[in-house]
Amino acid sequence: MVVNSINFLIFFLVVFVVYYFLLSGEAKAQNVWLLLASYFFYGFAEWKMIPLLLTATVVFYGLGIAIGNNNENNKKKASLFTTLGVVAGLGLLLYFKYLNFFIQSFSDFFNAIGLQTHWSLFSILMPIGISFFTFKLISYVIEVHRENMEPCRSFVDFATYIAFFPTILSGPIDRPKPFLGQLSKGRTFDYDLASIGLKRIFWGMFMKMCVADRLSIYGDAVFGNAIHHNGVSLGFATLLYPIQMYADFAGYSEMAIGVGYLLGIKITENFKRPFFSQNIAEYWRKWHISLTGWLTDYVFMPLNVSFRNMEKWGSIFAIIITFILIGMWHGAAWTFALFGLYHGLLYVPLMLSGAFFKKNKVKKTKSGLPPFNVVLKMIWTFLLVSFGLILFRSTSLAEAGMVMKKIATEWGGLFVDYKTLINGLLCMVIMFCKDFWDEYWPDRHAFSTGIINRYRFELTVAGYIVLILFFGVLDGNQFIYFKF
Amino acid sequence: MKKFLTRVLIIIIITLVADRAFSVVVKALFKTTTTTDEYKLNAVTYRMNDPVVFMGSSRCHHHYVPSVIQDTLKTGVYNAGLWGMRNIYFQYGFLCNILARYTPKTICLEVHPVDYLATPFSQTATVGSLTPYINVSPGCDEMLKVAGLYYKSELSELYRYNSQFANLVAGNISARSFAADKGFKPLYGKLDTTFKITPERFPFPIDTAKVHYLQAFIDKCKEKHIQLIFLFSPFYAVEKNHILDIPDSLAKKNNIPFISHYNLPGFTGNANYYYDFGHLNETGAKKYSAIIASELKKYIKN
Repeated sequence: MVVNSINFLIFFLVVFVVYYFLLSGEAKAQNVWLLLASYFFYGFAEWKMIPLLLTATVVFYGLGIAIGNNNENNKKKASLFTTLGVVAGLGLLLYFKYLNFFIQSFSDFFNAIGLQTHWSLFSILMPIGISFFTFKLISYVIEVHRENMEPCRSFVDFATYIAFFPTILSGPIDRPKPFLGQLSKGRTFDYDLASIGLKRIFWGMFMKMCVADRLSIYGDAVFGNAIHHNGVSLGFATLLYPIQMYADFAGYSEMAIGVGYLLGIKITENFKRPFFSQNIAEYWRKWHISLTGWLTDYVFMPLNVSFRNMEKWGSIFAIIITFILIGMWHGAAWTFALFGLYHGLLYVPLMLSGAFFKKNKVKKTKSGLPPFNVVLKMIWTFLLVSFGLILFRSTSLAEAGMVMKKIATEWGGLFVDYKTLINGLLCMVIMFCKDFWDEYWPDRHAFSTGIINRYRFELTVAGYIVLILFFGVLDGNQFIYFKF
Repeated sequence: MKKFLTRVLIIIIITLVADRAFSVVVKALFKTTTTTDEYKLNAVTYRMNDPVVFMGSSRCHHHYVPSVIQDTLKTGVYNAGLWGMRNIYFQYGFLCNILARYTPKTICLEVHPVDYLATPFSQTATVGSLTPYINVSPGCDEMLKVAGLYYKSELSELYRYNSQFANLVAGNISARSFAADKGFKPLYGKLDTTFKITPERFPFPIDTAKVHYLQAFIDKCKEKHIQLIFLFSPFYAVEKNHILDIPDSLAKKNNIPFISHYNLPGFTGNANYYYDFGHLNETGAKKYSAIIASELKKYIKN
């Protein structure tokens, strides 16, 4: 049940009506209802994995209480429970997502050095959303252990946090403290929050259906048949891919956040116009914020402390390791590891020059536009990101190498699918104009006449719907991040 | 909540008004566009009045030259073929729209495995280009329902023209691909034989839903007393297989002539007549049209 489908609309209407018309302000009842809805939603996507999700939730709920009970009097025991939680969370990921990858990699390695092995792979069904809910589980036990929060005493609240239906399949990865804090109070209908939520849902749908799904038609045609396309077409598809990824994933995040807002729950932000970044560090501060924030807190910072004797180089090692993990989080393949390493290495000059530690403010000319040198930096950052995504998009290192080689050497005519490209590029321009406006002119309003001001919100949402009807791909493509 | 619901209601009203208003403009552009697909869909649905009509997918679109065929048959011929793996779902809906306005005397249907096998690349999505013709005929509406497009198209008039923006603009700014020869579109160039060309294989099971609509196509022609002829034009590379068993048995069962030239001496293996392995070029199409015209003459009497 994808968020931009009729099924979801019906499901959500039922959830919404019961939530506000029957249970308004009743925290416990609302949370039970959200939990039931979340498990129904998850079961609709993958009913076989409900026992796993429930078991993991029960175990981590217990661990959280055990850690909390021992935090003061028995630190050693609390640490032991925390370690157990982290190992269990990583173990889940390792088993379901990486086991076959490691078996295959070891087997390939031994075969390559002449030691013939015949290890067979396991037939493992990967639970949908596992990368997202295991990270929530792990962050919960760590936060309790760090005494940043009290353990959650309500199983329903905790289970709702883990399985919350707008975010379980594709994030954002909410932190436990702010989320559980919201669940502890009864929610009444919030007009302003709901209005913003509604607008964000339709904007997310526009991003997904008009930009991502449209560009994916071109991208799939070229990358799916890379061997028969020349470097120009592959290069062009490479430049479109980051935009497709952004529209797909940020589009989903917008919808998830919007649905959360309609239910009176604020979900963590996940994107902040990443293509207006002047360097790769700024880019990662604006791209998949909930993942990078998670890894910064639980991987980079501890590593950075461990490597502090090595000073700057310690931080560099910490960041490279963190980025390899970011890459591998996306999938069990060497292409993802290399993708992470590539991004980690891009940090080296920034860390050596000190630019990493500076926060870039939005620089504007008098007319409110970005200065030329800033635009050049943005373009350069975009090109670096695009190049890295060749690794991300390719199914093997050999394929990535072939694509890169073709881009560098094999020139020819551009493969053009006018219908797809014109529709996709036009919607892409609309998306960029909105992002540009939000980045540089957040306080300006276009068409500020009386009637438009009066109905600006309604006209904007209706405008999104009309664009979706005319330009959108309405046959329900999957979201790229569902597979992670 | 009341305020919010009012807001939602206003959004719905604005959307409906905008949908209807924009669709008026888009509809007008759709009617005047000269891009091949849209032009031909309109021409066939609203203007074509020839007694002999060729229907089918790209192999019909590029293989049958009306000017050559009508010289032999001494009657008007129109090529209503359209490229893009338009299978029987599309053809049945398209036929029903044609019959809503006039009844041709003869229909020659160029069959293809996509019309009766469960090919993953040609399913109900091919009906998509018929959304602007919703409510033209019950048959077309039935196909739109099968494809899951009917109710969406009823709800939103703009949705009927979804993804058409590029074609509508380009086809109204300049005259593009105007089908001068009564629907025939020639392909120019010669097949590249520098690499080995193997016969196209169709290792797919029979699609009972498609066969159902192939039979419905036959029944519709019978009902309107239209002479139906099945055709299968040549391929560059062939092999012994059973890809024609279904149309063959349907033709026999329904007493329909089936002219199959899957393996036609002089054409099969002759790269000079082909644009690619499955499509004749202009030279091949003209030559083949002369051959098929004389064969059709045995069946089509004025």
